Amino acid sequence: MNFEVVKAIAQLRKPGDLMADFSKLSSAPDHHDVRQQHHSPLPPQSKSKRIVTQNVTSEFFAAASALNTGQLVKDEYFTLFEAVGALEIMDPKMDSGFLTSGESVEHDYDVLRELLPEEVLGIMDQMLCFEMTWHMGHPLSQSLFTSAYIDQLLWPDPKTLEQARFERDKTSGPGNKLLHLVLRAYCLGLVKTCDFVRRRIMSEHYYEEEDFVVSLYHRKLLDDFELSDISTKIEDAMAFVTKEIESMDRPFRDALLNRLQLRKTLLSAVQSDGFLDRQRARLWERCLELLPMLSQTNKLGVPIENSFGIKIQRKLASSVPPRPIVRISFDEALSRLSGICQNGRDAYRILDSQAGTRLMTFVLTYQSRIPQPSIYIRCLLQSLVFSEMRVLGTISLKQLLFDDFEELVLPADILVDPANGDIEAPQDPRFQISKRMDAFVTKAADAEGIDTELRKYTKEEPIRELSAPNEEIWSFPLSSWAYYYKLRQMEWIVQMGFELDIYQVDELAGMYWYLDWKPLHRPCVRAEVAIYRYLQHLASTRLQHIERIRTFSAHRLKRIANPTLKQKTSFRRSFSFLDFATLEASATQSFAEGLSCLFSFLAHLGLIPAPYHPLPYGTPALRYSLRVQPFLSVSLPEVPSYPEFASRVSLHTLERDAGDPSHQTASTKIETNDQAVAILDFADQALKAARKDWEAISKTKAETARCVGCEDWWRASVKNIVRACITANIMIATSKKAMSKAASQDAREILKVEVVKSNELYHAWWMVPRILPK
Amino acid sequence: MSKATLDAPAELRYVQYHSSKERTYLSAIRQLISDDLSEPYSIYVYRYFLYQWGDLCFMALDEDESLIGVVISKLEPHRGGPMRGYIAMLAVREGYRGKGIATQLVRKTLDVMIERDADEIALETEVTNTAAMKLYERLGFLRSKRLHRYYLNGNSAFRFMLLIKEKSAAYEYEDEAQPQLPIRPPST
Repeated sequence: MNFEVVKAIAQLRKPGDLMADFSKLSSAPDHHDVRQQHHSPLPPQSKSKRIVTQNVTSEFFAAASALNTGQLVKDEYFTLFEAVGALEIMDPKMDSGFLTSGESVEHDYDVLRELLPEEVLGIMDQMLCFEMTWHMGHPLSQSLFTSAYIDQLLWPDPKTLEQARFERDKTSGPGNKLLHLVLRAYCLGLVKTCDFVRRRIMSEHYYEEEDFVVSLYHRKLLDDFELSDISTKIEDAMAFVTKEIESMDRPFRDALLNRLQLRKTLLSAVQSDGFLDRQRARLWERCLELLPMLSQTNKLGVPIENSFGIKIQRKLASSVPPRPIVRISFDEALSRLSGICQNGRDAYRILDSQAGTRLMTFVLTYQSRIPQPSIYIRCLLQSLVFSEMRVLGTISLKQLLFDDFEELVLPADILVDPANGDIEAPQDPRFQISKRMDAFVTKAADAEGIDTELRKYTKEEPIRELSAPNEEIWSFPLSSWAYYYKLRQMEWIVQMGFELDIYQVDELAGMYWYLDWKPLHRPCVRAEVAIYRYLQHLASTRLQHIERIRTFSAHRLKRIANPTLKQKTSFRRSFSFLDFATLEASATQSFAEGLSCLFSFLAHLGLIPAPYHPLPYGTPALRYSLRVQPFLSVSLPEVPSYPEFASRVSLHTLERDAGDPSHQTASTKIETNDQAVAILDFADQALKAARKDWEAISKTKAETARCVGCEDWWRASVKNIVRACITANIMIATSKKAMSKAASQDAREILKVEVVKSNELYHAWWMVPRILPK
Repeated sequence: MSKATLDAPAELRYVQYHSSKERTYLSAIRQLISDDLSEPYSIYVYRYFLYQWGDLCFMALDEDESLIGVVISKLEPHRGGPMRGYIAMLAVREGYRGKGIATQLVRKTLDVMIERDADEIALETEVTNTAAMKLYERLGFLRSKRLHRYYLNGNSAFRFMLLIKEKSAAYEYEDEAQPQLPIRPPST
């Protein structure tokens, strides 16, 4: 093995030289594979005068012989990450330049051969499949860039659109118009579409590498060229196909026109300029209309498998080993594309949502639909929500926040009066208010401090309770607003844990507890188990907080002698929000409590493992600590300590290892287990209340539920929660019936429990177990 | 612990790795692990672990001294914070699975980590690998995160954690920004 290259690189002076030299290595045909020169007695001479090459093979082996077998040479900054990235030269799975004997470096395919209409159709549909695998998160190097046609168009980098063609040496070579006019136009449209898609995604938040690979391997996606010029090429191609009555049968012409039309429309739908225009929804709709014909005519095409090849990866600037081409079926590609078009169209409905609370409902509902909208669509939605410092293209961030403050905590309040910003006299309280509100909006810091300062300008009257007339209770509007959203986010974090299948069965009762925690009442709740309890705690805290907000708003309304119509409207809107939030928090709390009790009941009878039961390693307290870790830095609401938690979920009555089915104890006998029956009764009550609440939510008007613009999806989601509630009620009935029939038996002989995975549930946040009589 | 453990073939020996064993076992270890992988590790990855933490590597050998199972781990301060053990690779030869061999191997490596003052132990498994998830859950690990499309083949992983000591407040959130270690999953 030769090591000239190693030495040559070592002699480069600046890191920039290294890059420059590598690009030469990959572009100059005679340097394609340095390992081809194994047996050359002379080292290759670089054209650069600054580089002197020298054969260091013998020096290398001499140096290596000083090491023991297995000995590792590395510095302390060389981490596992780097180690895993290391490649082994001459291993075909890792070495992209490795050739078996007689194998050629170049991909062997003639891009200039004449094409038949069916072949053009076949290639177009293959390309569509690869375009979709790229949308699914696979790199271009394993999808579109494996096409010999795309490679020929994009490399060497075309300086003009005219250069982006299949015969790169300018002289018109062989090939026919189907190739040079039709397939080329299709490819140009495709590549430019990818350019817009990639730019949209890169301008937003996404998981690079996991959700989407932006890498272009030193290629460009025609980003210097105008959409209109490329559209013209597609139109020219369409005009050509339309006229080819003699040489092509009607079905082929129609199928080609369909694909060219789709390319043209898709290109306009994804283009960056004017993306906030509602008319874009119409373009997506037109793409959708073209799909049935695309699907029907796919069978006319003849795929050209060898026009795609893994060897093309070698020409791409990349440090990763060769990776297999990722293929999907045409039907799958079509269903992906159809999803993108539908979601693209539907995304524009967000422009109807306007106010903050509605916008929130839209984003949550839209993004959580199943199947999940593709990464491009999710980024498009982000851009619609916020771009160029505007929300939905028209609203400033300050307007959005002020509107939300008004709806939640400050109806018709001077703090959110937009006229404050016009006051220039510092002695005017409104000037002071405006200054502080701006500070809160831009920094979102120290809400309590700003609330306290604002009091003297708003002349707030505190509430005094009859029982303690000397105690002043202040509204703290900005802190209240922030706390509301904090609680909301904590609930979402806990609930997403269900969606992601993070929790183990024995934790479930407790996590729901966190959503609805009612301290120090109901002795039976002591016997509860771990996650639904947690959820219950959070929802309950939110309910109390909404009540506090309502008290202050009502107090302020009472003090307005003759409220104007505008004031009345503002208060009405706020109370309507608080009423709905109360219903929703109460529904969450009841459902969490019900499931918590149900899991607790199951654990009590040994049907599922007891919460945080002893295991060979770690302790229950340490596992609890690990689970609540994300919340430990949150001072309010405080995370219950383990002893407090344990006393509530009563781990101590269940010291046996319930994970061991051979273990029988008295507590699994139903007759000795009145406590289990009592817990089941609590579950029953809570779940009945939950069903009532969720049914009420499902009947709420769109305006009240703040789901304008996404009403259909929102209702579908609520309906699924109602179904989950009903299922839970049925599970309770099954348990009761089985237990009353066989009172003296071991519960494990009459009932069995199946914990359902999140994707098989009616709603991923509500993990209703399947309880079956044996 | 588990029922499976009791069925483990009695003739297996569990042997701690040592660099003196490299010539005898390294190629068998590589073979056993890469059989399960869609994309192989370079020799460097194995040396990275075995040279630095050979004592955390355990091999299950049958009566003919041939390799039936192996676990490879590391133990080092995690981002300047807790002493974190990490189980990097675990493999048992096909036909010997479901007998508790993997559990035994994991327990051996955990015991050495604890003896060497580990604060916490981490690992990842593919979300579809139910056998591995059960193994770790039975021992006391909890799923702490789902890592979206963690592996090169696009599959997601669960990070499993086991606390050995109560975390000190100073590094509660240290691991939030941790880059993903591209340890690869089985190909099947």
